[in-house]
Amino acid sequence: MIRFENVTFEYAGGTHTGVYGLNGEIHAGQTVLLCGDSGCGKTTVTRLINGLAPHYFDGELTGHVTVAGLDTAAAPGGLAAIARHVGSVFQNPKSQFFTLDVTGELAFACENFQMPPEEIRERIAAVAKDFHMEDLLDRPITNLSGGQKQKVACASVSTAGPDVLVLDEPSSNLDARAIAELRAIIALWKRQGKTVVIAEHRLYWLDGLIDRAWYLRGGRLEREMSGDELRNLPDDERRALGLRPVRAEQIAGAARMAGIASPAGSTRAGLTRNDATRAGSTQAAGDAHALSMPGASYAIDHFSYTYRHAKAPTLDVPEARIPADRVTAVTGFNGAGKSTFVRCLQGLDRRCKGDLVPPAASAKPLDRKARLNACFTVLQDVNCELFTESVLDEVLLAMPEDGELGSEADREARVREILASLDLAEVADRHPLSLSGGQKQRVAIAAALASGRDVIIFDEPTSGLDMRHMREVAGLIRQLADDGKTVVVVTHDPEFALACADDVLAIDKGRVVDAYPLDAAGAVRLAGFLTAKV
Amino acid sequence: MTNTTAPAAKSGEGKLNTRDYIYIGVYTVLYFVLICVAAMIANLIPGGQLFMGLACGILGGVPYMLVLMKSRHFGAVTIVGVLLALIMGVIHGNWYTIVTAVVSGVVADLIARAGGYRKLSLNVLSAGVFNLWNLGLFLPFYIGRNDYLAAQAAKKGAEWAENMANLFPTWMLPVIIIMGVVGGFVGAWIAKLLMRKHFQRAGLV
Amino acid sequence: MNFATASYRGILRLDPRTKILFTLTVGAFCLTMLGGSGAAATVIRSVLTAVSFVLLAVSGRPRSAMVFLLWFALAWAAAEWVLPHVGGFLGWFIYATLGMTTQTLPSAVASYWLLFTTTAGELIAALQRARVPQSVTIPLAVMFRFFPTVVSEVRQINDAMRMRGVHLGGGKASEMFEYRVVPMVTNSVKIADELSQAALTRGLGAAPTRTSIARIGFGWADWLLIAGCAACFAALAAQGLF
Repeated sequence: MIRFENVTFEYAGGTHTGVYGLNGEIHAGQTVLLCGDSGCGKTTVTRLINGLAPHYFDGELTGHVTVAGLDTAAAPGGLAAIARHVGSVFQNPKSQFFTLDVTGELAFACENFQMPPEEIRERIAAVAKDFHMEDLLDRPITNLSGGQKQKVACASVSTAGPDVLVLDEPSSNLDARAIAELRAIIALWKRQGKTVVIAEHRLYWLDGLIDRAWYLRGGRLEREMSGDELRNLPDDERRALGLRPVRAEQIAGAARMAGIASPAGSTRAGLTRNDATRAGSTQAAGDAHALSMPGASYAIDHFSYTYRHAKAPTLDVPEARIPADRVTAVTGFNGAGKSTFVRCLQGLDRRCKGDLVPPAASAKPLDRKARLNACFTVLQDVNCELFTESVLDEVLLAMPEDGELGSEADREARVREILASLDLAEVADRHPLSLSGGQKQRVAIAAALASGRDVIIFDEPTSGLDMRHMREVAGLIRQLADDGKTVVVVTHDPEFALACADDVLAIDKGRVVDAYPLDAAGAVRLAGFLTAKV
Repeated sequence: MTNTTAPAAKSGEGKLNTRDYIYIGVYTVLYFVLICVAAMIANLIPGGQLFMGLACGILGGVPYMLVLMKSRHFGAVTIVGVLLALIMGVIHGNWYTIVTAVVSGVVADLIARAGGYRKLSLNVLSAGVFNLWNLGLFLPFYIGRNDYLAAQAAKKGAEWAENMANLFPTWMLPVIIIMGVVGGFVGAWIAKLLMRKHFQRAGLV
Repeated sequence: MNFATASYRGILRLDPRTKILFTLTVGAFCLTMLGGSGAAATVIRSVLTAVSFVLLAVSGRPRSAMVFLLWFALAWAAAEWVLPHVGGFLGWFIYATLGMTTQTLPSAVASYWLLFTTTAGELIAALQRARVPQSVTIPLAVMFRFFPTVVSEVRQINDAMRMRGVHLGGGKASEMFEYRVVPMVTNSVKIADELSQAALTRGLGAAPTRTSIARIGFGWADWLLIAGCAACFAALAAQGLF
């Protein structure tokens, strides 16, 4: 179905890893995983299949890519001709829909191929039934959750009936529930005899679906494995390859090992993770107040958020604790109220009610406005917080002008210190927008440090990271807590939560439903919660 | 996250392609959002509507120049003009805007093309001319005679009636035209600064 | 620019092309004052204004129609009783405000009705049937889809600024502008790039025309309204001839 003959593709300008000397064949009906570090070239392989390389991305292609008998580079009609055979699903659910309502989106590809309206309606009905999404039809897409949007994206390529489906990191922004649905969709495609190619970092959810796995490094196909080979890869070999867990049960195990090695266990003897008594007291869900941890903590006092025209609050947290100088993971499914919780904590919205009480006995409770200057959020989309023309200015902007560092020179010296600690010293004078994604995120963290605030919040910092980068971010977050910051991390990625957090605050339907420390028992519980299938 | 700096994407050869159309749509939204802000600011002060053209030109300069510089082919600016004609003209029933938006779009496009979309002076001039599309929003009140109102006002006297035949005095049109062009110039100049300071270094244009 | 999100299923289902024709007719007579102060034009103007209000009212927005009507009545009342008694700049100011209100309101009502009874998909389908080329319909479709995205991006940017203690109105105006526009543009370009890939791999631009599942087409109500609009122009022309 798909054949690569001596394929080399280099991007014009060389900004990205291309693909070098690729030979291989993917047979009809197979499900193939493309894996490896970020920048290993797996995205480029997907682009070679769907024709974006070389028809959308400029570059030099040698060799031949044949998809469904079509030479992609030479196909008359270019992308459009390939589009009839290959359907593509991308990483970001936000940016891949073209219309405003679900039905229109499902019709989109068929309309482009000039199918008659009656036939399109029949196809939509059939796909909606297969995907169990009749209830979504006619709804405005902007109101859907990320998981629902990704489902719509899959359905909208499915209506046109392509034989080949290419997915580029489709699970990056999804929670466990949405991932379970995505798995069901891929299983359906497999049953329908489609050829499926998936480039992914998170692997556990594909367990049992993969026929073959291509491991790439530096743009070269380094190793080809069967599905069983991948599944039974010994842990140390898998880690040496830089691959994330391939089976759900490996997640908790990996985390336990990481937990022992992490600095948290050693530096805070009084608050070790393996505190069995605490783990035992956390069974009853809902009574978060009973779980008050020993040691200082911030107390949440009646947080609530009510939408305009709504009668009942969307978020209602009468009481909860965020341990000071530790990392608390706020977890829950998409739409559970995590983001609203974070907006309340940061005090970003006038509708947020409630106070945050700092641990020090003498400190006043922080109302919404006070929290704006007491907390600092590193946003999910770091591009939204890059304003100035150099990394140095960017961090200076976040530093309070009336702080103890009066003079301009002092402030700059402090910023350079922060930049050095985050491995950003060399890029201090570069334009923030010219940096890599990881560097941009570190600039945002530097800004958080420069703000001098005690509570630092991360809103889903790891969507779409490979294992190495995920561990790097987790390490940075641990470092913040060790330096005396109270860190709150919103995430639905169990691997990440286990790598960086000390405690868990689970949110569902706008309520705190569970709170427990991430000891051995907590790790199993969290992994179970965040990999659960519906 | 790790793929935020996209590799060089292919630019159309010779004429606009589907990808250009999508970008034009996105830039036009940015333009629209910014001129709405401009209109809001202008409407805060009484009589500020007269400065709306000026404000629109200043704030709309960045997306306008992005349209110019991203595709560098004839048609992109014209399409923005047609889109404005559709949204501000057709949907709101304003015939004047339909004409001004299409005409200023085509003329601005031709001016910029004369310099290959690379010559700064012509690009700035093109921005000034393009900004005249919003004359159409003002013309109904300048040209349209509202005799009923004029008759009511005339009860104050004949001199009044003379003044009120049109909503705005005659000298106002040239003033508004000049302010519109100047606004376009200023916007283009700001855009040029921001391009050099940010967008070129970020690899956007 | 607030299009309906679901298709209108009320009693008066009209084709978007008819609605556009009606809006243009109302605009021609009421906004651009076609026909000036002639007797025929004055009658046509009143009829069109009345029809706009009625269409809005029967299409499920009686309350909005009432509000617009009240507004319109107030303007007339002010012209009748206030305007003749005030002079000077204030007089001109009231005159200009009233003039703009009475001139704009009917077409504003018509376009409001057009927007809220039409989905973006229906409008695009109608334009495609009217042979508007893809160089216009594609960017237009992108615009409808992209508005909510820009709004949410702007919100996030504002959040980030507020955390840094940079408020609207505080600091230099040039910086306020720069700090908002730069991330807005860079983010939009990134989304536009991803959107293009998603659209092109689903065959956008594959053919010069597209089909559409939007249910549009002309019915008796359409012909009635089209005939009405034609009659307005015909009446004006007839008056000019005789």
